[in-house]
Amino acid sequence: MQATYDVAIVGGGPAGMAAAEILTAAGLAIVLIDEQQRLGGQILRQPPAEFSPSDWLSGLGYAAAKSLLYRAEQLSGAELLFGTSVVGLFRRKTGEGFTLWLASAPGVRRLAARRVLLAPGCYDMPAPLPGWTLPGVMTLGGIQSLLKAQYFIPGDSILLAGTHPLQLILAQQIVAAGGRLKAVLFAQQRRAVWRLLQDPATALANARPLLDAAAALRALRRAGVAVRFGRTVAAISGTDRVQAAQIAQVSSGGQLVAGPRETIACDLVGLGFGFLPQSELARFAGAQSVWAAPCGGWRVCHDDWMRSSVTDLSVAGEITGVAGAAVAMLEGALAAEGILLDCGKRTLVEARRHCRSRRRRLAVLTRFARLLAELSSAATLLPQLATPDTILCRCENIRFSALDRAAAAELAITDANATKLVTRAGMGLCQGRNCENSTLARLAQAGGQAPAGLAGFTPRFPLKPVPIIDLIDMEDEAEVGYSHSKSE
Amino acid sequence: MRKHVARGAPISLQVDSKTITCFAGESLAVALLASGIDAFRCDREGLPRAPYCAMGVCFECLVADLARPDINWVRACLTPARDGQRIATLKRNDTDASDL
Repeated sequence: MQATYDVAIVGGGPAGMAAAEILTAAGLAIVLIDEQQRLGGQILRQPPAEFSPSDWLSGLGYAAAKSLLYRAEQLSGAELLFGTSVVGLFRRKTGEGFTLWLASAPGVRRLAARRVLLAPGCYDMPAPLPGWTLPGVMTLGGIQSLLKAQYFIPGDSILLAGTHPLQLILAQQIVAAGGRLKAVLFAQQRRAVWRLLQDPATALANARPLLDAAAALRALRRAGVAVRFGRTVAAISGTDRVQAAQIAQVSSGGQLVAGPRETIACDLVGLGFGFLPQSELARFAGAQSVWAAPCGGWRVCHDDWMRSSVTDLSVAGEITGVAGAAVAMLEGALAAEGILLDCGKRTLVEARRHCRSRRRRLAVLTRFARLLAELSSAATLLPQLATPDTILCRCENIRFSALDRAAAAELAITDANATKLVTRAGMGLCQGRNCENSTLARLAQAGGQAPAGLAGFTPRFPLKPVPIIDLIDMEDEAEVGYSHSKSE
Repeated sequence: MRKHVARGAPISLQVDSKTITCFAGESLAVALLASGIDAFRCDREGLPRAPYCAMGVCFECLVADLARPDINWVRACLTPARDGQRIATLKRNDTDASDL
């Protein structure tokens, strides 16, 4: 079987778009695959073509990524596959290139590519606390994507709670859209958030999102929205959907303070405790990864040209550690230059020259990203919010008490896979994406060790669930892409 | 709450026994939420679930697309609503049947 595409890019966000722009300009045959219906990724989640918005993401923080998006939308020479999940990534039997298994509404098919760039982005840190499965409890990113791409706010009375400064940006967007915010709660003390906003690293990074956050804080004050520090949501209650949230105080050391809890009535709660790299596909393909301190998830290791430990498999963006769109764009460009170097379209001197200023900028932004990760970490707080009766695994309704029992029993529960076998946590449709991190944190706590040393769930094919009928009905000739080969 | 924006043409779909209207370009998730439908599916204890991540990760927003009787569910957050579409929310037994 001959190789078809030169490069398959998984993910159409800032990293994937930046790479696609460089690779197509160099004349390579590219396919870019994304689960969404349009380019942009989560940060630039676009409204559907049927909408005609005039004010989409007008904030300055989005300007650079938006200009990349508009260029990427004009790219010729890149095949774009939307509404498509990559459910498998296998090295070809010949040893050269990869077969990607794709699932979309029409069914499952395969395509082949000589090289693969994984730029799948990140997802919101799951925040297991009492009541978090009630309708009306959503992730911060989830609410933001409905607002950005659908101009829709799924509630009339909104509470945001968490540790990530993105809360301020979403809060401002909600207020600007006419939504009614009850409060924005930061578990940190005010001085921790201000330290981040005023740190030289933030200014040097020209960290638009955070400079925007400072402006957001002022705008929220003007709009009369309470932004409170040292507070968090400790439980959410309601019968068929959210009706109220119970608020607890958090000490400057990050500990929940016992005592009477304030109740805030609301019908939508947004939980913003940070983000996890979407690394399953890379780990499935055998790429080396390490625990993403301090918050968790797995970041995929790479060299200076964004090559993973697997030959011809590169990574860029949040998959290497959550650091935002500006870093993702730079890493996407580095990955593309590395690929061009590997396939002989660039000399080392040329590739180095193209990347020199990008690397300098990346170094500055990385310092800022580390500071942000440290000051917005929920690693200390989140384990305190999960009571024994809290649901750990949303898919299978497995509670933390089941995990605690398993860990306390005479069983060798030392990693996430063992937990899955004993408790079923991680066995459901999301394949552990929403419980792996909490499982590892809990096991680490029980064993008195660091989560970094524990193994996570082994990613399995298919990486997103696929109807069996779609696998049965796959036609052998459904490998797409032959007509796009420029290399054979 | 829909924020003002020029949306696609009005379309209607049937959700369980109810006819709802929404706008072309809206996802099934938004079509249902905007119609006041909070329970997309039931969990293993029979309790309602609704969109959580809205980006295809959590599988909480599953509903059945009756045009596809061969599959059990679609992710409402990733699926554009189509005029005349027939959708069923997942009751307890349906969710059990979706065991993979």
